[in-house]
Amino acid sequence: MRDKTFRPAPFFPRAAAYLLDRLILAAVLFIPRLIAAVRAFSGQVSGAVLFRFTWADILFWALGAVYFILFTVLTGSTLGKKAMGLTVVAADGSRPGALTVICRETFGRYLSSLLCIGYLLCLADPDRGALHDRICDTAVVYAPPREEKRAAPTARRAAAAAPALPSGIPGDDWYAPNR
Amino acid sequence: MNKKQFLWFVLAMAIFTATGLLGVHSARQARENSAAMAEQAAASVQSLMGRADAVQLPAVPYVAKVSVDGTIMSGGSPLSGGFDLKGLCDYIDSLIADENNVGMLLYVDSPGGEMKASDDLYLKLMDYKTATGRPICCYFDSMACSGGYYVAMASDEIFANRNCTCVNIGVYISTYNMTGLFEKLGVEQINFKSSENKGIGLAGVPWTDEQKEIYQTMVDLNYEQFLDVVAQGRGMTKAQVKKLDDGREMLASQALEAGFIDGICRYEEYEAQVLEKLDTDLLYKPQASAESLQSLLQYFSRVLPRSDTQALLDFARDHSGFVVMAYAG
Repeated sequence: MRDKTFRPAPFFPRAAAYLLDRLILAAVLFIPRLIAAVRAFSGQVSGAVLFRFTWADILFWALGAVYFILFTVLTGSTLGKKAMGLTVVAADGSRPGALTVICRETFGRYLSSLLCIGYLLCLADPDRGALHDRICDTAVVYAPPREEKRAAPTARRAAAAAPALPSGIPGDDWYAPNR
Repeated sequence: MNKKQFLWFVLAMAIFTATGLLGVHSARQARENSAAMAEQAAASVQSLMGRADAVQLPAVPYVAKVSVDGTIMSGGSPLSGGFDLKGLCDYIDSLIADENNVGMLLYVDSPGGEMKASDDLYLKLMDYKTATGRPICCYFDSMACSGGYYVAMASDEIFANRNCTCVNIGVYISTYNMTGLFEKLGVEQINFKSSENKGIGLAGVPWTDEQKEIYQTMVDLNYEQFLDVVAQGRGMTKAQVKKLDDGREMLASQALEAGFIDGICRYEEYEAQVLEKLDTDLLYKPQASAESLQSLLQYFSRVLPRSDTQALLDFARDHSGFVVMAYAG
């Protein structure tokens, strides 16, 4: 079971994080989308290939999914989540595996987006998360504070550095008025 | 991927496929409807523009109502407001081309307007008469002054409401000498003229007697044209017309006595009379144009704030040009 010390993130910070991710994607893909729209409008590209979706639709969906998957697998959270101080964890509190993330960000997210009911589940019970969390046994939690993360290596370095100081070199206490 | 995830995956694919197929189906239906919808949209845009080619003329014999409503001007449209001379002329053209049309009920409720616009409309009505040989029956509602009377000269008979003011034969030019206003505003108009009588009517310079004479001559010539048209339209001589109306407005009873109209009755009565005479029971009226939009635009242009100086300068600009008016008064 998940470590109880993790604090699950409620609906609104998660929604904000998702909105930020979407904005980032929209900004990055703005020019390609514009080109695709112009090409579609001028009839240069044939129409739908999968139901009503065109190659461009599929491509842009895939690019979005790749963004979510890569960031989550490699760094534990997307840029939007980082901004909101959130991170994705597996049931045992570890970073989720690639396959889990792929499930979560593809059909999991698709199911959650159906009428947004899957997302709204999170509003009812943040502990159990949105539908895609429940399917993949993941949770979105508040990331541990930055100080904590940084403190550990700094302390280690300090501890390692201290005995390495040559003993013969005077410290900065030589001017101490009490001496 | 465990069993739970796999089951959800299957569900996702099922939903995706179902919604996809549904979307494709509805898209096909939409495509089937789209041609009809595009046609409708084009028609409604055209009717918003008030253009005659948007009108659907009846497929059975009918009398067409042609309304001359308001100040007769060129350059207006239903969208921008003002008198839609072009729309009216286009409408008359489509009536000329239509075999089912058996006559015209020319409904006039106008104080007149620009001489040129009135004459254009008169000539278009004459085109209708000569090209088709169909009768034009005219009714004056509350007003048919000057240019409004001028256009009616194309008709075969004229009936009027008993409270109608009409006739009012003559033309005028009205302009302003703004030198006093400009002086007050501290504005000086500087004009470079190639010759003495070029640029007459520039707002910042007073008129010389010679210049006044020039324009008086033009007004006189226009008046002669007006008299010709009335004499022809009413079967009188120019001298008779001049004697019967010196430019004053007349009430319907006076106009009837002088022979400028043929009868007095209510509009409903006249409509029935015309339909009976032309042996049809269908009076076709083109759809009213987008008046609400027009009045909204006019409202906004009225409420925009202006400083006093701006208002005076606008006044100067608006009144520095001039056209020959065949207008009431």
